[in-house]
Order: sequence, then structure tokens, then C-alpha cells
Amino acid sequence: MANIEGRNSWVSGAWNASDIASAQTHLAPFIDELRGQASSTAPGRTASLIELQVAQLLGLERAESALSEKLKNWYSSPEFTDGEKAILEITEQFVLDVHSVTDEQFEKLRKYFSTPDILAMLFHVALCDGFGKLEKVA
Amino acid sequence: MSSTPRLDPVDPTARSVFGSILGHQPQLAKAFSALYAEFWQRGELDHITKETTRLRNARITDCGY
Repeated sequence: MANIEGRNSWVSGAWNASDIASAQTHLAPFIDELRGQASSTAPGRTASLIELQVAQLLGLERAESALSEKLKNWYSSPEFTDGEKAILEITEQFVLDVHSVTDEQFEKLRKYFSTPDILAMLFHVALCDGFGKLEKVA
Repeated sequence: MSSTPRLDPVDPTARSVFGSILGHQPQLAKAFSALYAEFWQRGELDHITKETTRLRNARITDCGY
């Protein structure tokens, strides 16, 4: 079937990750709870930054905003703190080639964030990446 | 790529594995465990398919499980 953006979905009746998850209705509330926990425990605005960056890297359609525009040049933008740049760097590597995440990149994270914060952010990265890729292909 | 966890467990005497690291975020651990249990206990797919997919994913990502 065609979704609202005109792209075909291979999952009957589904057109985005949320609907695909809902197709397995017994899992949907558990997925929502996990995603909510990861998002709400990630520090500051990192959850939003991660979501936007993963969407951009995977080519997912999302509403444009001033922040998403600045995110396209995050590496050189003064908009982002060094800590935010550290998680954005790992997010990019995680999505494009998870095997290539380095110890050096990880040490940068440790400079700015506690272990619980790092855990929450990485969980959020993994969930955004997984459901984003599901949205992309299904 | 590192196949050794980069994060320490919440209990310094425990072995550093996925479960012991998750202890740093108890609510997140609880939500993950609930989803994982539901996924394995119910659903459309049979256990052979679920386990085959899990193993394949673990090999590709160099996961120790």
C-alpha cells in the first residue's frame, strides 16, 4: 500500500514505525514505555538532538525546524556544546557504521557525561536507529 | 570495534556485562526487561525464528550473546 508520503509500505496498513510497532499490539505499550524512559532520562536536549540527527542520517521525513537546520552543520556550529557534539559524533558513527565507534570517541563522552547519562543516551541512539531503519524499509 | 563493554557495572564487584551496566538506569532496565520478556513469551513468530534472527544479529554486530 502507499503511505501518506507516497512511498510503498511492505507492511499491510502500516506507514511509519509507530504503526508498524502497533501491528504487534501486545508489544506496543512496552515499546512506548522503553522509548519514553530512554528519551526522558537522556540529559538536557540530547534526546531531541539524537532523534533529529538519526532522522537526517537515515533520510526520514520530519518537519524542518531551526534546530534541524543548524544540526546539518553540527560539527562547526557554535549552537552546540562540546558535550552535545560528543554525543552527535557517536550517534553519527553508530548509525553509519557501529563497528567503527572508537574508544577515543567514547572518552570524549566521559568528559562531559556521567555513566547513567551515557547509558540513557546510547539506549536512545539505539532505539532511534532501530525504529528509524524499520520505518525506512518497512 | 570493542566487544568488551566500555561502561562499568553499577556494582564494582560485578562482571561488566549488559545487565550489570543497565543497573545505572533502573527504570530503563525495568522497561527493557519487560519488553524483552513480552517479545519472547508472546507474539506471531515461533521461537526458532526469533532465536535464529537474534543469533544472526548478534554475529553481525559482534555481540557476545
